[in-house]
Amino acid sequence: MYGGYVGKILRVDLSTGRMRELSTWRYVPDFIGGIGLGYKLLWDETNENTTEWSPENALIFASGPCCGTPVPTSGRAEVIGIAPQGYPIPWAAVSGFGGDFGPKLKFAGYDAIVIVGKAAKPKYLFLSDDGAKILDGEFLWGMTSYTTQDALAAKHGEDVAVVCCGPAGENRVRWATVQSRSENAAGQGGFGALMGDKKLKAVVVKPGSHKVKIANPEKLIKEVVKVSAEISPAGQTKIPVVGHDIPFSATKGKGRYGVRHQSCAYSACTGGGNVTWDLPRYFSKVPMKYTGDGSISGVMYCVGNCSPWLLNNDWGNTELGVEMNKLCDQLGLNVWEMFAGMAWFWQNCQNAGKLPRILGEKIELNKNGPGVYPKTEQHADVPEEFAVRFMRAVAYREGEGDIWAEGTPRAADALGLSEYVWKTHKHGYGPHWDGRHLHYVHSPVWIVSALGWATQGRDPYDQQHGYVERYTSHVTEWAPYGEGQGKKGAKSWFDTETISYREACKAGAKIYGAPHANDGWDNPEFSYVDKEYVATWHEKRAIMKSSVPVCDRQFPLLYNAKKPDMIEDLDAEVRFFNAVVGTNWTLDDMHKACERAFNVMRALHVRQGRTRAHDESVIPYFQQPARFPDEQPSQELDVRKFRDLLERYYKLHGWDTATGQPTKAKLIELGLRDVADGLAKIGKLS
Amino acid sequence: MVEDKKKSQGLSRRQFVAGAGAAVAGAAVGGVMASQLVPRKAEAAAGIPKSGHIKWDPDKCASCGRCLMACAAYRESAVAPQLSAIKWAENDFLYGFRFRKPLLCKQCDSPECYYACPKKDEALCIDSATGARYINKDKCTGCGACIEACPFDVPRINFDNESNKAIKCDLCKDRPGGPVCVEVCDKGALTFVPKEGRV
Repeated sequence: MYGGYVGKILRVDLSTGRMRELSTWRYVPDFIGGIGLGYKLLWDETNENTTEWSPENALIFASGPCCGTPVPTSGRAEVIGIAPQGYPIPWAAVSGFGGDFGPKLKFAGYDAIVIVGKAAKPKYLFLSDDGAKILDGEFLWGMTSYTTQDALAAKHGEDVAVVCCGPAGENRVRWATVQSRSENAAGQGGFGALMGDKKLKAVVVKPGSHKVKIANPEKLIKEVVKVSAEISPAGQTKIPVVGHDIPFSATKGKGRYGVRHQSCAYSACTGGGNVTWDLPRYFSKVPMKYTGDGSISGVMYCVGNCSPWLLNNDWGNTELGVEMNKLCDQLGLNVWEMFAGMAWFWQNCQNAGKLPRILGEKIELNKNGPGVYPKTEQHADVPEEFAVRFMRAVAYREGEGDIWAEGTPRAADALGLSEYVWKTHKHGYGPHWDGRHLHYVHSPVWIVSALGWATQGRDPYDQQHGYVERYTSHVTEWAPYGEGQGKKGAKSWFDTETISYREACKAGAKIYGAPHANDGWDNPEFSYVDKEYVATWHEKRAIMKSSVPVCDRQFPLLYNAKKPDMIEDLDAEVRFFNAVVGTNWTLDDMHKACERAFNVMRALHVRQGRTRAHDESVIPYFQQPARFPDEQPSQELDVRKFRDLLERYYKLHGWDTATGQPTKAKLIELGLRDVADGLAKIGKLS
Repeated sequence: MVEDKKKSQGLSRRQFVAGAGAAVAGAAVGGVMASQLVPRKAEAAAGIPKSGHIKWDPDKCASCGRCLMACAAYRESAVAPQLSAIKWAENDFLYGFRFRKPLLCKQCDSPECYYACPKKDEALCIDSATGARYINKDKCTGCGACIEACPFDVPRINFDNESNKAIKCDLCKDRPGGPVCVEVCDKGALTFVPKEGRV
């Protein structure tokens, strides 16, 4: 018997009210947990005719084996389903969140919940020692995510964990979030809309008498201590970014805004003994102009950190930034899409002389954009009063808000602005670590990013965090912030010692098993060489992180200037997994399991109609010049070379190069005969 | 089974605590009534050595809860809130501005739990090396007297309904590396204070 798993998955059909239990052991450890498990459950539940609004579209919440254990950053849960935000086809996608829902789901007796069907009236699901119950949710309908959670905590006790949708989700806004506590949300994908569509306001889990076995506790403790130190190495003191340098305890509750840090999840990374920006910051004293009192007055965390500079020019206006975050959280809207997707689309339209009015109001956005950071003068500059009105109009689908509720690409189609969408959105999602608009990324790093964008169902966030963010921020020549920028001694984004570009190339050759994997910056002849190895490696790591699970931002642990080969700790996640589950997997074994899950994802997309053309649809976006002021011959995607790269990528996967479909041989090699049969049946197996 | 017990015995404080698992702390978290600090048997207390204890620093704590689960994992080779000798204050669900925090056993100078145990020195024992007031699992009958006697609200002794045993901090007295909660806290919010250092 393996540790780490409860052994049961709850399946709920909201149409009939029927509930039954599936055995987790049918799926693990082969599919690990989290999104690996989730993709396979989704495959089993859906078919080629399933759309985002079909009753059989499954809304899946999944924990993973390390969730609820002392593994640093493991307190995460994942949402999996056919995602309403995707465009033109709502591709199957995933979205993760921290907090306490994942661990408490397990302590309430389940590794995952699969929710299909649609309730006729608002319901919520309550899991406790007394079993699973579908309860009347009428009294919650219409409440904000904060009020909902508070009402449920009052009813069921404060030890519960809750996921819920806000009014935006109820109204099937395609960029509605699933919210958990104040600081955690599954943002991308629009899974809040899926909850609303199923008339499921919330899922409440109450820890009961369930226990989750740990195979090797002492080994686990040893790894926890080791890896915690790697995540937050000694000497890391602060993140040298303007506005981030708030000491951990010095201003706790005492500063202008009453800043306090608190971890984002069970067993979160804490930043060690150091100042950190990975802990959410709570502001108790921000004036609450738009969101009312009676609750905390704002939280900033990971993505939430971004809105101040997206909204109103700089970090100086913290008050407004945190309040906008809070408003998004309350309504259950995706803050990232609002400020890093839709607002920039508006700017592109206005720069072309279109869209002078939004919601009937004359709005003049910053013409020197879109784009942010470090050039703050390029921010969208959405007027704050308007932003509040707009978000409410969308969440409640009032007037023109009804159109924008469909998400940027569909709204653009409805308003005759389709020709501007591709400048920001790919597969329905706004920019992220791709060298345009937002993150300044050197070539050829964004070429790997483009490959990730091409082949995923949403923004390839977990690949970007693991590769683009980690790599670029650890290279001396690229060190983006603070003193010593670009020179020896420059610090990384994580306030650690950087390594030279040449050292990174050498390390990359070893990590990815390809000589030019990290190469191609000052020698552009290698920009497109070996990049398929990097992309496929990080795909596996992405699956790994969100299945084990650990934080997608902190892992994998790639570089360390103090190590002889500059490589930090590539199999930390595998050691955690082994200690908890009791397996004896090597990194290769884990990579195989990840490849298996990635192929299920691809099969889901292919079944939905994915073709090579869909993958290549991201090309025009990357033909826009990259924003980093590099003195390089080209900052635009070379289409011919990229198509060759894509072809090599398919080959490396063992997929058909003409269609991008998985092959029978590959699926069988991965133990996915049922998936192969499913694709063959509809004529989509190469 | 839990329900049956509640029905047959009424919802005593002990049952409430045991059933709650990760106990929910009210406004009086950490509060202790002064009267309860007076030893029941002053002469007996004089003969009991002081204990080491785990000190918690709120300024360093990130309230990640890793200590809880490491405790459970080490002690019981499993994780669950009711298996940890550390309890957890969930007192800031959304509203308000309070801190989620660990609630640790104080290893009191005058151990009310020890006095209350009907199998004193067999089930609830004093470790001569560390001074830890600990539970000998083999002898614990699950009567809950120690939990009733704990002067803290929330009581710092947990209860596992399944094994019908009380679960209490023993300072990891048999663990070569010392207290596991201290070891996994990378914030340095938890420190082990040996009995000699006890004020």
